[in-house]
Amino acid sequence: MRKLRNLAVAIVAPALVACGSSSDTSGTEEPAEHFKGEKVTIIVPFGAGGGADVAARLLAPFLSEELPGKPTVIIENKEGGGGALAMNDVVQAPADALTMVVITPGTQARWLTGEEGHDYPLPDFHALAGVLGSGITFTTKSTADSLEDLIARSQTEPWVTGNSNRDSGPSLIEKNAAELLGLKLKQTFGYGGYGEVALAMLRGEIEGSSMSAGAFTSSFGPIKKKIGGYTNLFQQGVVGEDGNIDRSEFFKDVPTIAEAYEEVNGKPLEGEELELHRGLILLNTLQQLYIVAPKTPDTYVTALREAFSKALNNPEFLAKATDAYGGSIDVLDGAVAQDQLKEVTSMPDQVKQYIIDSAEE
Amino acid sequence: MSVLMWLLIGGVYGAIIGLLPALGSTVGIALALPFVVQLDTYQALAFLMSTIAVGSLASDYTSILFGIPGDGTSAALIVDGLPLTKSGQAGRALGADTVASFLGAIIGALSIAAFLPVLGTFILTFGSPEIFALTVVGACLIGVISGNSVAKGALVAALGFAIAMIGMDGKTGILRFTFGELSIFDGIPLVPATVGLFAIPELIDLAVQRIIGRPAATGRFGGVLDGSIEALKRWGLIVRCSLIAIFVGLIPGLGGGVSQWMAYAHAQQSSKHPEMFGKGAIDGVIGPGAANNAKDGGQMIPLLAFGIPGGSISAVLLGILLVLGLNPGPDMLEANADITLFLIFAMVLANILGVIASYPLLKRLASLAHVKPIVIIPFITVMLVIAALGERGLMADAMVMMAFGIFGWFMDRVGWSRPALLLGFVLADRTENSLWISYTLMGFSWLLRPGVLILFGLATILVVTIRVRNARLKRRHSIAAEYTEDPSAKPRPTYWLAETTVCSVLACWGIAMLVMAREWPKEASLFPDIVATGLTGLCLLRIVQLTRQRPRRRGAVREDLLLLDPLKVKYTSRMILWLIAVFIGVYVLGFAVAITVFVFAYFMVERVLKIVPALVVTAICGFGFSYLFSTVFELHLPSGLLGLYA
Repeated sequence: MRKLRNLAVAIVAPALVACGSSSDTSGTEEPAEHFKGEKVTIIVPFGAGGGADVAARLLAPFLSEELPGKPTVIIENKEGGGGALAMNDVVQAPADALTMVVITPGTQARWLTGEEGHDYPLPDFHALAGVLGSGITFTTKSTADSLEDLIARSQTEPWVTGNSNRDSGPSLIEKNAAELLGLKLKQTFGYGGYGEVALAMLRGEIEGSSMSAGAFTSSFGPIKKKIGGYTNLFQQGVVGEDGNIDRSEFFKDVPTIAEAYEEVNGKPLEGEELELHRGLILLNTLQQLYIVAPKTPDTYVTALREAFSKALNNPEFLAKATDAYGGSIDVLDGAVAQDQLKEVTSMPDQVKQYIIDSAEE
Repeated sequence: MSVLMWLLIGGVYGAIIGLLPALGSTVGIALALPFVVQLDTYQALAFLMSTIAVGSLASDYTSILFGIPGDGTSAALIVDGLPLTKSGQAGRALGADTVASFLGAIIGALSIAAFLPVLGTFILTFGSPEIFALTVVGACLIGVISGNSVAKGALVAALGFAIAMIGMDGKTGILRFTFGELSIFDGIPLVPATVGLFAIPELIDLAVQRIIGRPAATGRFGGVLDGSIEALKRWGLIVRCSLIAIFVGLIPGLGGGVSQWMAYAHAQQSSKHPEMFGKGAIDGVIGPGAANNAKDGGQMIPLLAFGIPGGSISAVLLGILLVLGLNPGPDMLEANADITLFLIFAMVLANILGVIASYPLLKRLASLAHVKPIVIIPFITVMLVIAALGERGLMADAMVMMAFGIFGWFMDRVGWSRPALLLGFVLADRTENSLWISYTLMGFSWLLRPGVLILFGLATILVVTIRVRNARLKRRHSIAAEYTEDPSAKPRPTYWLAETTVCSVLACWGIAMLVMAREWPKEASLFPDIVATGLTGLCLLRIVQLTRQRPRRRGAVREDLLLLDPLKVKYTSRMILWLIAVFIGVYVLGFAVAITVFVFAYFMVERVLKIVPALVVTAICGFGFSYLFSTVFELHLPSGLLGLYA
């Protein structure tokens, strides 16, 4: 038995040394050399088949083509802890640029509010690329009259909306919008997804909901045709480079909440209210953010950013992804995404507090 | 022609992912996504339909043969399939399942054509209150499948609900009963838990039998033909179970996890010999077998009609359809009607091909059951490791599997129904959410909606018929006496002690749940409160029952322990140690090295093979498994603390 053990040590030890030494020397090679023949892993913090998962799987072959050395790009699903498990994996992986993760607004918000398990240094991560959401829409049945009428009616009979969960970006913005506009709101949670929300609206169980452009197109697109349509009351909009809230490309003719506010209250949205509102929008903006661990050498970060940019802007990919998103997609380059990440992670305390308070209601 | 080729490729691919645990159809399709979107619409649909069809069929087979479900939706096949295998009737079970699946799939495919045009009206009458009422019917079905004692069945179901309460509450984002353990923030993972409940007790049984293989197959073509004919004769059951699955599949969110158990319960409830269920009733294979493939058709309906996925497979499908440029919705009946027809055609054709291809192999597959247990144990163990770690590569999932395994073993001994536990577990989420939505939107007025009344009526009828039938069975004959437990019969003292202890612990856990839930808003605490109260109450009730049955003599437990067969104890504990060792090995050495070392060590220590053949087998399967899982399927199995390549 002892002999066997010695034998095992004799076999295993050199292998270990070999493994150890090879990873130590990394970081100094040329990117092409470094990635060649390797497996690059994108961790998706959801089960197979979700929006971020489908997007990453579509991207993988294009990314593989664009990366120096043409490594294999594979997708790893790591569902759990609201993204924390995936983040921990990246934190613990060697900083060799071979493991990255794609995060969604949910994870960003959980990090911001310091939820259990989300204690990784998010601002120190390198952003590789981002995909912007095309604004969140607020939908209500076509039978409802104008926004003003709805606000008036809601004083006696609140606007009943449905959503999957209380702490999702759309639910938070919806609540914030209602407060800003003086719209009395009754939110219901527990639906399994936007498809179910759409069905609930069809049945008249709820009146409205808030969802991303992609969810809107895929859930309401088919139904709209059959039932006769829904009204988009207002949209969250997108925060432009100048800090203003603009209408999304996707909903050109739907007013933003800020516009509706001005319409209803006769004065522009400003001060602390504006700051909170903009914060919540920003938190909802980076629908998909590809990031890599903090200590990754700069040369690799640059190489990854370039590859992501080329792959995400590849017309062939865009065509497929746009179909999958059911809308338009807006791609951010690494450096711009990094600024956005910085803005999101340095959000004022009142935004954090708002999210925390909303969860406890 | 190329469409037919893709149908075949999809079938082969489906067979592989179906046979391997942790690679259900959902993951399989997601893995294939990048290349599927390169195909044209017809090729892609042919490939997908065939992957799903054959995948569903193949995952039934592993449930029947080894008690390892290929994914969470074929677990109901274990309950009677495995006992059939154990009694040398694997061929019969496989034959019956194949025919039932085939017919179920055809019914499912045809239902698309039948239901698609009228779905709109149906689905609009089925709101959250009706979904809740349906889950109540499901909960009542637990009474059917839990067999011997209503009190035990209810207790186990409450436990299933209680386990499902662990994890994040979807509505509020509040973490319930997770104690900071990240891996269970999203709940206890279904596949490791299911596999643990059924496959680990089975593995222990095999380890105890050691060299005594299962009785040789009897009947025509290894029993396959007999089973097939039996299934054909039970066409009525197949149609009913298929319709149940289609109906459940129509309702987004319930899906295959629930429908298989409902079909199983229906098969048992409508059987003339319900007491045989769980002991190898062929109807217990036919029912869920039909349901398992019929549900795929059911789930396609809301997907095609509204673009709303009814379950995880159809969620991935939706993504792919959109990429292919198809817009599910009313178009599928108008502009794209040809594609819908093709899809139905592909489903039917894929199933025909699946049956033709698998039928000649069934006899051979069935003969796997007769291999000496110690030869096959290492391979089943490796399958267990993959089932535990394939999805997320988390050691915590392995612990979940072990815990459920040991608990499943206990349940088996004291006669607690494992299906009841699982049905409670898969129903809980839907029950909670639909109840909450109904309550917040309508108060209690929804209780009077016609659909709700009908479903509640159905539930009442179910409960009454179960009680009446149990009473009648009890009076009838002796096998039935075993089925409807005689309250005066005394359990073995050891089991008595174990059950009393577990009930006490669970009662305390129920109280602890109530205490913890006090801090949460009503939205998050209402349902756990109900479940915890039920659990505690039922545990106390069971403890009272048990007190009446307590062993009268002192030292009875010790005497009973002395009666245990020392060899059984030895092999049982050794198998558990092997399992623990494998998981620790994977943690330290990584998957590839650990399983290679394990297979070799097992062959040596248990004296299965001589050193040279052992080395050859080890080399082949060590390399084969790691190549297959890490390279072909890109599963991220742990690479171990030592960082050896996985």
